[in-house]
Amino acid sequence: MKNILQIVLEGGLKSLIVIIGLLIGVAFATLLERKVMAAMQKRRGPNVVGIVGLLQPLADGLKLVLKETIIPIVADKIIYAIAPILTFTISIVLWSVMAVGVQSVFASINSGVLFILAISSIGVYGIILAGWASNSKYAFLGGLRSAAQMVSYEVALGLIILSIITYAGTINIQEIMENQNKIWFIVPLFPGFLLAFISALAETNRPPFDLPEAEAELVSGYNVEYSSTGFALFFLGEYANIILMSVLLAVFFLGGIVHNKILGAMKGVSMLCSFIWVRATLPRYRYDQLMYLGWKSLLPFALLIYVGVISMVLMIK
Amino acid sequence: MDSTLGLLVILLGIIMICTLVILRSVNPIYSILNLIVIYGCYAAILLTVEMEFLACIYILVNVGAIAVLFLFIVMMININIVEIQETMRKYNIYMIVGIIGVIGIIGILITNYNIRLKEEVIADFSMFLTTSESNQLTVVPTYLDYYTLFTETTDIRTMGSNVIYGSQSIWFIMACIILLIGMVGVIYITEDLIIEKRHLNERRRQDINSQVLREYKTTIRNYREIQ
Repeated sequence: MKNILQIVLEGGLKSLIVIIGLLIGVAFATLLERKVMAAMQKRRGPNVVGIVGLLQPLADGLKLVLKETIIPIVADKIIYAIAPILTFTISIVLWSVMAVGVQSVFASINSGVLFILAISSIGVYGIILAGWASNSKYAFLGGLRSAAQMVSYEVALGLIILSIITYAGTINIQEIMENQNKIWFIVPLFPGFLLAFISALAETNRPPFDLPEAEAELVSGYNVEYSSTGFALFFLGEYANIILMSVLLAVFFLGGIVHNKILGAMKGVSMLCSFIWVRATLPRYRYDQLMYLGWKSLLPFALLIYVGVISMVLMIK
Repeated sequence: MDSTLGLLVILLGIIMICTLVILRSVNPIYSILNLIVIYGCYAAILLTVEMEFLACIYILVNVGAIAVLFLFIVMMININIVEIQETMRKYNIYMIVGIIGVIGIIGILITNYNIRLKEEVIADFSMFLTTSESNQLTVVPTYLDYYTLFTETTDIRTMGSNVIYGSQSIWFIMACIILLIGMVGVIYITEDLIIEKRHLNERRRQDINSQVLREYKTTIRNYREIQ
């Protein structure tokens, strides 16, 4: 009994640390996005709340939570309530296997990369269900678009991750980081990095692939009917996924976080900044162009890279 | 009670309830959602016997790919709920028999479940075998003793080096062939439709040369002239 209590306490404290850190990270990622975009467009950005606008995310969050929760009368109420919770929970669960150092990890499991792939594939359900349960055509179309986009770009991303696994010879995230001691994987696998970056943009529904949120065409996509806390949960889940993707790219290609944690964090933040950089510069794709890019350009290239990596590994052996 | 057994009972209970909901729910979307819960429970059962790789693959393939497509298609179909309710009434008698059967199976599982040695399993089935056969079975080569193999190293290594590409590769190849047959079969069934459509399109094609060369005298005739 004492043993179980100890396990529960330890696990609870550990997960609390991960979740609180993640939430603070998400809050300041939104501020970072607004500040970086402002700098690129020669504006000041948020600078009223707190010193140089540092308390802006807290004010935004408070505003969202204090708004009125509206549930549409025709909505499927249970699924309508479950969908944002599902999205948020999955974006948190993914962080349980992300290593922030050689020893500091919540759960070091053997098939960490596979775990991330498997759980992130469940993330589509939150969006599909939100679109369906709202019982509104705009939300439904937005949900279908978003789900189709995420499913099709997952294939290319999975193939790139497969070639990294083949190159590193392991599916444990910490071992992948340790294998990059001599040379970062971005040097031999540079085309793979570009493809993974594009797929990550599409996977997290970021511009230029932000079709689900195309304001002019679909009013706001799958989260049209959501207000207050439901919307806040979608928002948090989305940004947690963006941070996860940038940290994953840093782990797979830029050497990850092995010794110097500040340097490791800087890698992740630089990837995050490049996500924002893309948002501030590129216009949005049309939907058929998006599908064409995913299935007819990225997928064949990813297959080509995979074949190349296999032959490279075999030649070295 | 053993903690693994308790977990297994809970998971099996969830699976049973979800199966009932799948069969009884009128809205097919609820059925698919419950199917996803069942897949999750199966993955959890695989995790209790320390097969992380299989559990991850199970979720990745079934939940991430197959169930999403189901959900996608079912959402876009216009469903007549009254019709479904009428057809459901026919199956009520079979449901009772099915429930009794499921309860029996779960009872057997709960009373008999533990991870057993191969010798015990063979001893259970020994009445169906002759003595020489059971003697042969007890001496099993190590590459067929999956549970020890899975626990010795990581399960992905065992599956790669011993099971899928090793001793059991013939089943793997046969599964691939069955998949190929399925794909070819679908193409064969729909081939007639495709060819018909192509012919239709050919007939519709524009022949610019004949259109330009058409003259008034040759195309438009008086009705009496023809007669």
